[in-house]
Amino acid sequence: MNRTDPIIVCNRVSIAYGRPVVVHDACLEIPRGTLLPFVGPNGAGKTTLLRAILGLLKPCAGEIRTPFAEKPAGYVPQQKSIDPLYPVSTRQIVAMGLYPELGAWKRPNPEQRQRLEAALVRLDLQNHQRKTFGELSGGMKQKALLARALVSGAEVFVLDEPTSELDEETERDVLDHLVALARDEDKTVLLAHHGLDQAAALADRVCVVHHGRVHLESIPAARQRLAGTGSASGGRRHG
Amino acid sequence: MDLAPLYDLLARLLPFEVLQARFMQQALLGLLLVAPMAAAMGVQVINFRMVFFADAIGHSAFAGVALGLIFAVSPSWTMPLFGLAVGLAIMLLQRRSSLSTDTVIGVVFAAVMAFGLAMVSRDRGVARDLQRFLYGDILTITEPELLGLGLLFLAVMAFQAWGYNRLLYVGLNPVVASVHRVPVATCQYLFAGLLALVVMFSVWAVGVLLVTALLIVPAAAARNFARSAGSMFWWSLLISTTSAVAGLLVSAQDWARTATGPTVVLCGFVWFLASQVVATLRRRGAR
Repeated sequence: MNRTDPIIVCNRVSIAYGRPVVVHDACLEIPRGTLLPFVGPNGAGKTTLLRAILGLLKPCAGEIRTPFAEKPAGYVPQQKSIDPLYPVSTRQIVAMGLYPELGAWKRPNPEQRQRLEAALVRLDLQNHQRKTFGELSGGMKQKALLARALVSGAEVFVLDEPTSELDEETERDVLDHLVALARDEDKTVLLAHHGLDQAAALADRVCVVHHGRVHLESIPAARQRLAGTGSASGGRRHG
Repeated sequence: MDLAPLYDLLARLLPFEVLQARFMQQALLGLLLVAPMAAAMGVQVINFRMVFFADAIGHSAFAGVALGLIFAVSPSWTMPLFGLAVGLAIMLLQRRSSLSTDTVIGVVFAAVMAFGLAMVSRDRGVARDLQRFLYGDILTITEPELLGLGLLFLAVMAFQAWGYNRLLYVGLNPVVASVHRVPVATCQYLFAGLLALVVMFSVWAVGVLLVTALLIVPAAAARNFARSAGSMFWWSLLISTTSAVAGLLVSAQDWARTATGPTVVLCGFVWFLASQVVATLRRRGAR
C-alpha cells in the first residue's frame, strides 16, 4: 500500500445481525493521518461499522480493505466493558498492547519494555501503574486503555465512545492526545462519538451514521442531517 | 515406572510418622499433583466467572462413572472422557447460543445429572460404587492413576506457561484480545477441556460434593492477598498446596480421624478467613 493511498477503504459495505441490515451500502475512503469522528444517534450503527472495520464482524455485502493483517489496530473499547474487579495492574493492562508482536511466551524485550515505559509516561500513568484497573478514576481508566493502544505501535486507532464517562477536563485531555496522534504522528484515528459539537472541535469532516446510511461530510452538512436527533448538538452524556 | 524413589524423597522431606505408610505417600503425591493444578485453573475459573461451569463438570462425574460401571469399562477412563465431552459441549453451546452462559450451563448441568441418576437407578450395585466418587478417596489412589495425574499435571503446567497471559487478556476483554490476534476460541476450548479433566481428576481427591471448593477456595483467598494477576496465581498455588499437605496430615491424626478431602478443603477455608482479615485491614488502611 502506497502512503498516499487511503489506509481504510469500505466499498459498498452492508452489515447485518441476522436479518435486519444495520449498515447499508457504505462507501468510505479514509486517508492516512486522519482523525475521523463517527457521529450519529444511539443505535445508528457507529459501533457496528467500526467493529466491521476492525474485522470483528463480517459484512454481508461489499469489502473492507485495512492494513490490519500486517499491523493490528489500536482498539480502545468502552471502559465499562472491563471488569473493575479483575486483578490486573494498570501496567499489565498497558503491556497487553504488546501481545501481537511478542513470541509464544509473551516476554517483552528491552525495546518493547522501553515503549511500555514511554506510553505510561505519555499518559501520566507512571505513578498509578501498580494500581488495579478498578482502583483508577474514570479518566485514568480511559488513559490506561489508550496507553495500551499506543504501546502497540498501531497505525490506526479505533475508539468506541472514549469520552462518554469523563468530566470535561479529562475529556479535553484525552481528545488532545488523539489530535496529537493524527497531527504529529500521521496516525489514523477513528472514534465513535455521540455529540457533534465535540466532534466539530476535532475535525472538519465527520462520518455521519444515520438510519444505517453512512455519509462523509462537513460539520454544517452533518448538523443539518442530524437535526432533531440528540447528536445534532452536544449530546454530552455522563455515565 | 517405579515411583518408589519419589515416595522415599517425600517421606524424607516431610518426616511425619503418618507419612511413613506407602498408601499415605501415594496420597501425598496425588494431592501434590492435584492441588497445584486445581489452584492454577481456579484462578482463571474465578476471573472468568466460571464457578458454575466447574460445578456442572464435577456433577457430570456421576454419569461418567455410571457409564463405565454399566458398560464394564474402567471409570478411570469414562469419567474424565465424559467430563471432557460435557465441558466442550458447554463451551460450544455457549459460543453458538444466544442464551446467557449460566442458562446454558444450567441446562447441561440438569441434563447430565438426570442422565447420571437414570443410569444409576438401573442398577443398585452401581449406586454403592458411586460412594467413592461422592466423597472422594485419595487414600486409595493407585500408581496408574498417579501416572495419569502426572501426565495431566505436565499438560496443565505447559498450558499455563503458554496460555496464562493470553487467558488473562481474553478474560479482561475477549474482543480486544481478538483484535490483538489472541486465538480467543482456541484458548477458551483448551481451557474448558483441561478444566474438565482437572475437575474430574480432583473428584478422586475430594469427591463430587467438594470438587468446586478445591478450585475456588484457594483462588478466592489468593485474590484477597494478591495485588496483581501474577501474585494471585502464586498465592493460589501456595494456599492450595499447603492446604493439601496440612489436610492430609490432620486427617490422619488420631484426634481428628476425618476424611482427607473435606479436611483439605477446611484447611483452605482457614486460609480464606485469614485472607479476609488481611483484605479488610488493607481496605481500612487505604481509607
